[in-house]
Amino acid sequence: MKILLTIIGLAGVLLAGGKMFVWGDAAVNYGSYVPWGLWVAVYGFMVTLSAGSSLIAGFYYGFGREEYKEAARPALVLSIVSLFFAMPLISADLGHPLRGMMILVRPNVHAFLPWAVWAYIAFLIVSIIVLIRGDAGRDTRFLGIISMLLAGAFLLFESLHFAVVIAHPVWNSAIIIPLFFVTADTLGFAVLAIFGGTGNAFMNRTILSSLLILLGLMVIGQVIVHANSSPPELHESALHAVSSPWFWTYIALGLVLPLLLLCSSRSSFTMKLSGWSILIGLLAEKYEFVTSAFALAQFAELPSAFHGPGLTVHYTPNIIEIGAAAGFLILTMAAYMWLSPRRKRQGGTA
Amino acid sequence: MSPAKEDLVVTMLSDLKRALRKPRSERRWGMVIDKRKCTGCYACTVACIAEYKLPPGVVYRPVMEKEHGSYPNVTREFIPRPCMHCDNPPCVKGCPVKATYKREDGIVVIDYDLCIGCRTCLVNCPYGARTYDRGRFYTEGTPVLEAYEKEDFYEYGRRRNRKNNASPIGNARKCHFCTSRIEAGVLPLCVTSCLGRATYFGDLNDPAALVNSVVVGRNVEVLKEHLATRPKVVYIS
Ligand code: SF4
Repeated sequence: MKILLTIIGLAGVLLAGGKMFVWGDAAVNYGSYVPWGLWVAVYGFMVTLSAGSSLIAGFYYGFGREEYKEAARPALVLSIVSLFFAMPLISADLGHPLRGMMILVRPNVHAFLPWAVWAYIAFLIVSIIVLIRGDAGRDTRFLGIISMLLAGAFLLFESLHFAVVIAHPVWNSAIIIPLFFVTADTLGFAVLAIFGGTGNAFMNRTILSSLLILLGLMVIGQVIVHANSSPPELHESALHAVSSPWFWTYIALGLVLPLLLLCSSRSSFTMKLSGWSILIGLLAEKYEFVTSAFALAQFAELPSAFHGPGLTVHYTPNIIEIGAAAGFLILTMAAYMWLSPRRKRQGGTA
Repeated sequence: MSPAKEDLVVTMLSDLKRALRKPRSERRWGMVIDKRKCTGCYACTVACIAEYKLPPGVVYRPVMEKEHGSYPNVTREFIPRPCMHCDNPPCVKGCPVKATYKREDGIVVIDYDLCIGCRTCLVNCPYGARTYDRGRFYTEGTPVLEAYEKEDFYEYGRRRNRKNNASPIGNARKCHFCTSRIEAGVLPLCVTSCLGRATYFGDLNDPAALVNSVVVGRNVEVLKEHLATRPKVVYIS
């Protein structure tokens, strides 16, 4: 299974490599009026998943909570590999991938992206040390807490990267920051539902259900507020959302199904199922979050003023984008399986 | 018989020459577009595309059309939209590698050799003034890729060529007030090609310049003024 996933994942990486070094940006569907597409959405998802998983790992490594011990190591591995593979994916998205290092060499300290990148690197270093040290003890406490804080830092900078965009009122709001954090926490507890734990399953289920409801209120609340707002960009993004299959995928798989599962049964199988359902649903939500902001160009008349590739607000990812994004997600799963053999021997309960 | 009136382009040209005698830091380039005079001929759009060999999907100065009212009381206005060269440019703040910046004479430029192609500036520009060069050619897919598409062009005072996937392919691109031309004492192409003489250009620090006098007593409009980007392109409506 691991080998098969690795091969499929690498095929996706090859597609990304083809875009980077052979076909160039003519091979992708994002452009000028939808400058960020599927790859940015999946990158955002992987970064948020990383932050959420680090929260679960941090309960044990940082705070010594024994009830999270079983899930802590797999969560930390997932957190590391998810962030690690998000980097090449977003590099593939650059027009000049090899210049990506410029963010470290000549950063603009007024932009939030370089801060996020520094936090990624620091997080990876600290988390790998925690992982190597193994079980939680006094010596890992400090590093475990630092790792959690760094995850919080990169998530904060990522959310600010979107929240300060005055050109897109859909994002230009302080609510984006809690939205990112609640999404990360939800993903973290979804990961816990999948990996299981020896602790208080009732409490974990309650926390996950509460997070789902909170996130649902934020996402659906935003759509309702935007639909009833006068700025056309907000109105259009709400229309985009309700007519998008991704939004309804989020509602169905990221909210309704897991809530029903969590309320109806206590079995470990339904916990795992709800965890997977949340992961898929929130991936759809990230895609919708990124693309709905471009539902209306900066001027409604702009797309009809001049025609050409990329000068449109209609965006559908093509096979290269889908293949590469799926490849990196599958490779993350494969890397997790390669690096987390211990858990397999232990087995897991919800 | 009254003497022939000087063409506005001639007036602006002498304004330009006067401005160029000052140090760069004392100039402040700006543009005024008189929407009442714009006929929607797209001469500026096309001239700009021809000068900079802009590829498919890249446009520096589209002309937007807006209809007002309902039949039979309808009007149509044309809004040419170059880069606004804001004094408070959100694109510059967002660029992670300082590849785009505001020069001391007010022009917002892009360093193609530093730009990583992250498109953060495209996302951050409230005017949609930046487009992304995806490496396309108009005659690709035809039996011959026409040579004119691979000819050299000048931007930011440098000779450029898009052969072999070189920058500006993979970069953000936008109007730069024809930096190379103005430094050589020539007006931007959108100004000289404007059939309606609707575009004024000059040094905003020069009170005698036409670009300043033309707005006196006029209804001046600033696009998306509420965003406090302080554009250096304004409209007479
Ligand atoms: S596309 Fe280039 S100029 Fe624009 S923000 Fe990215 S690096 Fe800066």
